[in-house]
Amino acid sequence: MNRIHNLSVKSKFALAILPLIIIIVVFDYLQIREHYEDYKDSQRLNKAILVGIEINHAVHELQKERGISAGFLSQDAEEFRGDLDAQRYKTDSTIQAFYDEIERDQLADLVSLHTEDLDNLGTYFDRIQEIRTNVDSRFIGADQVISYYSEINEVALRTVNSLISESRNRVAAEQVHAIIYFLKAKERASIERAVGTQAFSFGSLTPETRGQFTSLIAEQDAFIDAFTTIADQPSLVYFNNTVSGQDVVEVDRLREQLIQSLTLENDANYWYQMSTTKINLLKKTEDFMSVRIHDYTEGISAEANRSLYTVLVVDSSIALLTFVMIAFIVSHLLKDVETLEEFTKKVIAGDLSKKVIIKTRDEIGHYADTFNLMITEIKKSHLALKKERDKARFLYENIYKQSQVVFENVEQGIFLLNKEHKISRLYSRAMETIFGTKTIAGETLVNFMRTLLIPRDLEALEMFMKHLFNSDIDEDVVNQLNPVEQVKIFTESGGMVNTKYIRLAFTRIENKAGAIQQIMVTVTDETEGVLLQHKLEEADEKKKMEMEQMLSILKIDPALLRGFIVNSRKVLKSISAKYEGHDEGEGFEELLTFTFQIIHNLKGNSIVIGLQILTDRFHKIEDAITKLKDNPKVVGNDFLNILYEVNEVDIIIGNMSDMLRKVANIYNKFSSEEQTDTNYDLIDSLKRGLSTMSEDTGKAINFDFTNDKNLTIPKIIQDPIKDILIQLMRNSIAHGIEAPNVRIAKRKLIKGNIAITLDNEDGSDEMILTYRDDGNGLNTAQIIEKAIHRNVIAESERDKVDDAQVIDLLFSDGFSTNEDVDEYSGRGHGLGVVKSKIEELHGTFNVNFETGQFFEIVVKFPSNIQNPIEE
Amino acid sequence: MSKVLIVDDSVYMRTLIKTALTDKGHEIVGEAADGENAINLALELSPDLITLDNILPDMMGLEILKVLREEGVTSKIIMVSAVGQQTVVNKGKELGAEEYIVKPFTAEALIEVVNKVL
Repeated sequence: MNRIHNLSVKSKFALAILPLIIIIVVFDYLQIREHYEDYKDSQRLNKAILVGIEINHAVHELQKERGISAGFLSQDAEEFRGDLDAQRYKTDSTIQAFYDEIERDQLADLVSLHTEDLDNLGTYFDRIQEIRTNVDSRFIGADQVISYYSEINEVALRTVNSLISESRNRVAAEQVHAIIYFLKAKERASIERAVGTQAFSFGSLTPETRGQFTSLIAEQDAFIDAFTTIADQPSLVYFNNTVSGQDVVEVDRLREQLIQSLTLENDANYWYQMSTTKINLLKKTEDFMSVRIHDYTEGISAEANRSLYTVLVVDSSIALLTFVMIAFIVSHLLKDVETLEEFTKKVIAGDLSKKVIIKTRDEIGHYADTFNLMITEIKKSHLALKKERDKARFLYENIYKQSQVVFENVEQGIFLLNKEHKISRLYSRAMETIFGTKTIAGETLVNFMRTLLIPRDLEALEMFMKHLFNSDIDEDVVNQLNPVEQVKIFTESGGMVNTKYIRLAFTRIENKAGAIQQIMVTVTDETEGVLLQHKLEEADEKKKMEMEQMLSILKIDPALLRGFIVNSRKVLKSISAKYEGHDEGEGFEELLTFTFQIIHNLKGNSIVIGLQILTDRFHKIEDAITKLKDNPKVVGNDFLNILYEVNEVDIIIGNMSDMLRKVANIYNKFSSEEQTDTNYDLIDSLKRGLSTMSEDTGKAINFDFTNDKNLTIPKIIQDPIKDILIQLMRNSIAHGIEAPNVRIAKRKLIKGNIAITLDNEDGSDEMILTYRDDGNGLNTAQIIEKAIHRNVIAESERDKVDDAQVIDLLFSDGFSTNEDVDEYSGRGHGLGVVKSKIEELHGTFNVNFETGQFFEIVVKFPSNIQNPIEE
Repeated sequence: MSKVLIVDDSVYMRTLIKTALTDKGHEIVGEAADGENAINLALELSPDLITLDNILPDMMGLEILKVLREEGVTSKIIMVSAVGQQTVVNKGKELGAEEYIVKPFTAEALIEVVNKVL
């Protein structure tokens, strides 16, 4: 069907008309052939009837010859002799006429059609001469001669039958059959004549011939019956009128005589004459019918001929007319179609200047008009489009340039992603700056980010891209999944790896139908912001620290804190002073030791008053100094770090001082109470210091302060006293008081005890401060061993060392027996500090101990000292 | 040995049939040359067999056949026709004829048909 649709109009016409043409041609052909067949048939029938008539003539003469021959053989020969010869001549001439007839050229086709029948008939005709010879010599009987001739006639009539019984014309066929029935009846009549002649010659019918005679008559009647059934009216009327009258009645009478064996009144000759007369009447009828059928066939032949030509002319005319009409209409249509087609081609080629002209007012004409209208419209639209195009071009030039400028200068990275997730060719210049590369366009986003992201983020990005292009998921929901909302990337530029924080934002670009066409991606470099954020966080941290300082300050007794601050600032200043007055390149060890002692002492104080922040700081500085001490070559720069740290602590302490002043101001405003010197603050801070230390070490220690005389340590020396006691407590915890399990083993109280007693000798300004713990006392052997190990004393003097010397060793600077270093002890400076502090107070001390039982130190110092620090 | 009625307008045909059947021992109980006589004789004689010519002066054999069958005549009937037209043969069978024979015929052909019917 498609193939037909694709044909040209011309071919479609051809295809549509072809069946019509075929029908016309076939119909014409069939009609003409039908008529031609009719014509041929009528021609053949006509010829066949001519031949048939000739054969009938011959048969008629042969019938007569048979009768005469039978008569000749039955009785007096001479009576029939003359007739016989004459008859034989007549017979021969009719047979000759038959041969002449079939020799005619016109009959060649008919003869060739029936060659076999005609040849067969010829052989029978040839036998006549032989029969005649036998008749002449009376060699055969009348019966035989009748049967011979009858056989010939039978064949002749059969031949006639076969010649003419093939007609297609029903009327002709019926009449032919009527004639044949009639001929058969006539043949029977002729035999009857012969048999009758014989009977009359003998005077009666023999028993054999009687049956034959009756049959012949019955058959005659039967064939005449058949004839009358189918013969046409004129033939029937002619027959009834002709075969009747006296002679026919006379033959019937003679028949009756023969059959009923009546006395025969007449001779054979009379019978012969009578029956011949009757047969001649039959012959007359036959001739009438022959002529009639011949005329009829001639008529139908002419009719067929005429109608054949009529049909030929009419059909040809119709066919011709049809062809001419079709050709005319189609060629006009096609011409119009071609005109349209050529015009269309011109239009396609862009020529809109002409109009198509088709004069016919059919559909094609209307199409042409429509076409012209369309061309006009196209011209108009064309112009409008041209204008639009120019406008668009103008806009494009401007907008494109502007967007180029924007893209060149915008600080954000902007680009589009197509459906393959690839980056558009056009992207903002900032992209190159942010990512530090120029190969950006055409790469998929995931590939582009591959080297910049950690694998987990990359994987998330890959998944996210899929969701982004899935229009089933709401854009807001998708954007919540954005894994690169803020992401750290590592870019390389000039061999340097930069860390950047970038933000990627995605916006869907959809067409009118809501399908996602592209994704617009904006990239923001947030590095500065993020760094700023970090700084803010740091600042926050600092604020927090300050807050802590503030809070810790508020927790501490202002008098204690104030003392601590004043003391700390003084000693810290002494460090920088010592450094400044120090010669470059030498004596660093001494400087370090000096610094360490001060820091260690401050650490102890900060622990006692509970300033955790400063404790941490001091410990850090101690660490740094220890490290430097282990280093064999120390330079000035190394010490600068320590100075920096010291300065930091100084600043913190300065801040505290400020804060404290502010707090003090507040106190002063709300409190009018006169300040008096007490030991309360000192003891309180010692208690707190001890409880902190005992909690940290897991050693439970009882603190006992005895002041029976209610003495007060002057405010001015409370700090050095506190320093001394704290150092002693640290020592007790580190070296003296055992761990609870050890104490249990020694059958001591689980809880250790530190007892401090304040006393004086009556009337003296000198105060006696006794410090005692119930710890392990001093392990002199271990101390000596250590001293030998450190080359403080010689191996050889081991046994000469006494307890006083051991105590001296213990109180010398930088000596420690403990292997571990912690906040409270272990750097070998502790008791050295105690000693130097006592000396500052112009005091003395005395140590007692019992190994495994206790350690005691009795410090004596003047109570009226004015300013112990300004030595 | 059967009783036969011969219906034919040709005396020679009747003779021919009569001779042929008598020779075979059948009894010819009647002869009719027209339709009226044929019907009367058939009703009167109740023959075993009727040979019925189709073309008679007053009516057609097929009409007679129809009347006879309508009157309840049960005799076997052989139609005798000068023209062996198929329409006549079919019509005859349809109307109740047992057999048919085309004229002219030989005695042997007739006997054969009669034997077939009886």
